Amino acid sequence: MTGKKLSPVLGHLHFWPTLFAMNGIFFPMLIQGFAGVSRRLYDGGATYAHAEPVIGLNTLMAHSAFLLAGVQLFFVINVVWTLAFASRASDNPWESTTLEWAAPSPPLAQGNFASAPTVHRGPYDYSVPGAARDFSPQHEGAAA
Amino acid sequence: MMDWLPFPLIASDHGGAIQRFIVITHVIMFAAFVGWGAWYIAALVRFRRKKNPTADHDGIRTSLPYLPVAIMAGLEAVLLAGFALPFWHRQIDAAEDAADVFVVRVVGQQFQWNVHYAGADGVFGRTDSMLVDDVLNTIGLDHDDPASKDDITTLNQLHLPAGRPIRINLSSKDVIHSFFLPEFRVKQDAIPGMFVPVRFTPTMTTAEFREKTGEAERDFEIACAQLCGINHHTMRGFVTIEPHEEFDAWYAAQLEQKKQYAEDDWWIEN
Repeated sequence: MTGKKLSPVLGHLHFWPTLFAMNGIFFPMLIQGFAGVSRRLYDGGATYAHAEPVIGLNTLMAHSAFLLAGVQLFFVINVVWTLAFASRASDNPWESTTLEWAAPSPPLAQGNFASAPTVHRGPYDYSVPGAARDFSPQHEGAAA
Repeated sequence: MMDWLPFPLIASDHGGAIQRFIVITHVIMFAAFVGWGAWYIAALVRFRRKKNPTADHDGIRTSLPYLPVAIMAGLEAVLLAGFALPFWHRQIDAAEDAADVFVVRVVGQQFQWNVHYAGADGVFGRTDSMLVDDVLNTIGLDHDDPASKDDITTLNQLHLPAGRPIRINLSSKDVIHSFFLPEFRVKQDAIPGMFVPVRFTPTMTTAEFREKTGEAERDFEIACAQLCGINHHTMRGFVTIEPHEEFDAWYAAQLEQKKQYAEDDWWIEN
């Protein structure tokens, strides 16, 4: 979309705490569910005696939710930083073989491709014997 | 089994079967989680970039992944054919009233549970939505109907005799509610315009429940399990399971109270 690649460092800082916090929110819900606590209770189950043994987990879930919201900041920073400072990425930065990588980066204003690509091979031609590189895109003619 | 998980006590005769099903399902899910997780990590390690700087033209050809898929499919078939379908057949599809069944009506409304008992004649008095009064006659019982003479209604108080098969005819006055009795492993949506039979046999009295939990004031609860409006979370009722004699005494007392109200207050009837 922008023709630029997000920062992997900020990506890791975003991903791992998100994974951790998501489980901090939803795994305790499984435990509460075992006890018979329903979803969508405005007071988090405080009305019911059967919720009492597990209602303390609400605190953990709330903290996890705040953490989850907080670490999304890394993503926002990543996007802003990338837009402002990152250098342009190549057309096929992941060295992949399928047709979407025939599109130029950044994308054209109109249409997908500069000229209609011709498909020369199957979609998973990696390390074709005799080829110079370990990937041969579908839209490239001779086994380059 | 699984005592370290916070399951409620089981107080109905079919509760054990539900519990087993829940536990088995989760054990399988946990095994699948561990299995797939290990597979994923093994693949990450085995095909890591350092060891495999360039792609492999052929890749790895193996039918090994079919094995866990076949195991999972088999386990799910067992769950479905061995547990879910037989249970549903026994408990819902082919369920019939026992000879000594005790029938109660429960009508959900925002945000309470109305209970209607037929009394000694076993016939529920006529109800009519035109007779509904939000304070005095929440289910619209027709007091002129002879069958309603020995009917009683309660609010959020479901008294039932212990050890007797129960059929609750569940309905709703306004929106969809869900009638949930955690300890009895009963959960059924209450739908306006429908009478849904809910069958179970309570096997534990309230007195035994209090003894087991060590909480002298503890009651079996009715919870609403379907978001039904702004006070959904307060839609709580209580179930009292008593031995026969105590239940009969409670019912007689309710009838007596109803008679007194009828005599005292001219406006309660009609």
